[in-house]
Amino acid sequence: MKRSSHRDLVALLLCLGVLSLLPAVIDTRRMPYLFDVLFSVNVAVLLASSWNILGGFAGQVSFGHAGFAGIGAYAVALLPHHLQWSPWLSLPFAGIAAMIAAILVGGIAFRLRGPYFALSTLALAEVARLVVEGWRSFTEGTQGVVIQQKPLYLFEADGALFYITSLWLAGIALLAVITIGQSKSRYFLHAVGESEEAASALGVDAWRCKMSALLPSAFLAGMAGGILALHTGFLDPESAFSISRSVEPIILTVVGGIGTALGPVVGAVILVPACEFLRSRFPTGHLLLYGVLLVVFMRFMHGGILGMVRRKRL
Amino acid sequence: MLLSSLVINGLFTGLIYGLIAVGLTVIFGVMRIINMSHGDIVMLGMYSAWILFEKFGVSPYVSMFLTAPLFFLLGSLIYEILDPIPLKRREMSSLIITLGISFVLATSAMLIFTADYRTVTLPYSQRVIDILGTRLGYPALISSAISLVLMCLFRLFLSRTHIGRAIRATAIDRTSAALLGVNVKRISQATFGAGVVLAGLAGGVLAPIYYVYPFVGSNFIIKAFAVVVLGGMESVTGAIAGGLILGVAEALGGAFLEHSLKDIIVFVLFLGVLFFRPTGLFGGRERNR
Repeated sequence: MKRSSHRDLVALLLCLGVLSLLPAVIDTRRMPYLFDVLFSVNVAVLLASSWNILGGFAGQVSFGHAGFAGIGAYAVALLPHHLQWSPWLSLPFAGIAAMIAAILVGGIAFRLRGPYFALSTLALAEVARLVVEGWRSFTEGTQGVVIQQKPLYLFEADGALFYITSLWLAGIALLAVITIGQSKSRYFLHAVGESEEAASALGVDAWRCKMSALLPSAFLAGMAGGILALHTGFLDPESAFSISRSVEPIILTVVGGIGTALGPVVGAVILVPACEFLRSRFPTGHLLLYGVLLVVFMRFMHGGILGMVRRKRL
Repeated sequence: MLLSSLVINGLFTGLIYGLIAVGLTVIFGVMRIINMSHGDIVMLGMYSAWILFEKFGVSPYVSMFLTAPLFFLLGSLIYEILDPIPLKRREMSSLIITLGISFVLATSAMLIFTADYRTVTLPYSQRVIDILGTRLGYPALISSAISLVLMCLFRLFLSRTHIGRAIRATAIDRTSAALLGVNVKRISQATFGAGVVLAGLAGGVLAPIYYVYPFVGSNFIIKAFAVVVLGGMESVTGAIAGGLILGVAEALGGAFLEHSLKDIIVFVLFLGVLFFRPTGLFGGRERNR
C-alpha cells in the first residue's frame, strides 16, 4: 500500500511538472482561448475533486458546493476591496473562509442523513447567497465587486499565471484525494456513508469522520471559487453562488466515476471542452447534455467511465 | 397594510403552495424518492395551460384537467427510469437522476419556448373581490379554491378508495403490503403518476397568476420542500397546513422585513424544522416506523 502511494505521488508530480511547461511551449498570447479552456478544466477538476471527497468517499451528497465556492470568491474580492491587499495574496483566504463556513454547515447539516443532508446544503448555499446580497455595506450587494487585476510580483496576471495556479490547485486537490483514498480513514468514511448507525455502533465517531471530509472539501471548493473570481475580475452574488457551481461537480464526478481519485479528472477533461464547444453553438445546449448525462450515467453506468473501463479489464 | 389582510393573502397563497407540495409529499411517502424535477413539472403544467389558452382560448382552469392524463404518462415514464435501481441506493441515485431530469425539462422548455416571460390574461383578470376588507384578484381566488378542492379530493381518494388504501399501505410498509396482495410496483408507478399529475395541476392553477418562463420551477421547488418538511413528509393534511404556514410567514415577512431578507424566511423555516423536528411539525407519530 505504501509503495503504491509513492508511485501515485510521483506520477502526479510528474504530470503536474510536464503540464506546467505548456505555457513555455505554446505562446499564451497567441492562443488565449486554449488557455481559457484549460483553466476551466483545471478549476473543474479542483471543484469536482472537492465534491468527490464529501460525496464520493464520505457518501454525503452535497447540493451546496456553490455556497463554499461563492464564499471563497467573496473572500478574494472583499479582502482587497476593504484592506487594499493584493488579490493574489488573499487567495488562500478563500479556502480558509469556506472552511470556517463549513464548520457552521457541519453543525447544522450533519444532523441530517442522506437526501435531507443534500437538501439542507442546497438551502444553506441559498442562505449564504441571500446574506451576501443583503449585507450591502460590506459586500456591495447585487451591484457586485470589481477585482483589480494586479500582477503577482514579477509575474504578469495573464493566461499562463492563471493556468499554472489552477493546475497546481487541482494538483493539491488530487493529492488530498489520493491521501484520503489510501489512508485508513477512507474505510471509516465509506462505513459512515453506507450506514451511519452501523458505523457508530462499531465505534466510529461519525460526526468527526464526516467533518474530516467536509473541511478539506470546503477548503478546495473555496479555492476554486477564489481563482474563478480572480480570473473573471468581477463578482456578484448571482454568478458567485450560481447553482451550476453546485451541479457541475456532481455531473463531472458521476460521469467520470464517483468515489475514485481519477473520476473527476476524467469527467472534467472530457466534458468541460465538450461543453465549451456546445455553448458556442447553442447557449443552453450544454445544460441539456448535462441533464441527459446525469440520468444515463446514474441509471445505467453507476461506476462512471472509469467503472466501465475497469469492468472490461476484469 | 393591515395585519388581517396580510394573513388572508398569505392563506390564499398558502393553499397553492400546498397543492404544489402534495405531489412531492405523496411520492416521497410511498417511495422515499425526493423528486428534484417537481418544480419543472409545475413549469410544464404552466406552459401547457399557456399554449392551450393562446392557441384555442381554453381557460387554464379547464385545460389543466384535459392535460392531466399526459402528466400521468410522464410520471409513469419517470418512474420506469427509477424503478430498476436497487433499493439500497435508490434514495440517493434518484435524487441525482431527477436533478438531471429537471435540467432536461427546463432546458428543453428554453429551446422550444425561448426565455420570454409569458402571461395568461383571463377576461376577468382585472376584477377584484373584497374579503373581510382584503382585496383579492379573481384568478387568485379561483386558483386557491381549486387547490383546496383538489387537495381535499386527493385526501378522500387516499382514504376511501381501494387504490388509495393500497397506496397508504405501501407507504407504511412495502413488504407487508406486498404480502397482503398489493402489487407494489404498480402502486408505486401509479403514485408517481398521481404526484406528477398534481404538479401539472398546480401548474395550471399557477398559470393565470404567475409569469411563465422556462426556469420558473426553481422558484417553487424550494418552497415545496419547505412545505413538505413543515408538514411532516408524508401526509396530505400536513402539506395543506405547511402550505398555509409558509404562505402566512412569507406575507408577514414581506411586510415587516427588508426586501432582501424576505426570501430568507422560506430557508430559515426549512432548515429550522429539519434541525429541530426532523419528522416535521405534524409528523411526530412517524418516528417509530
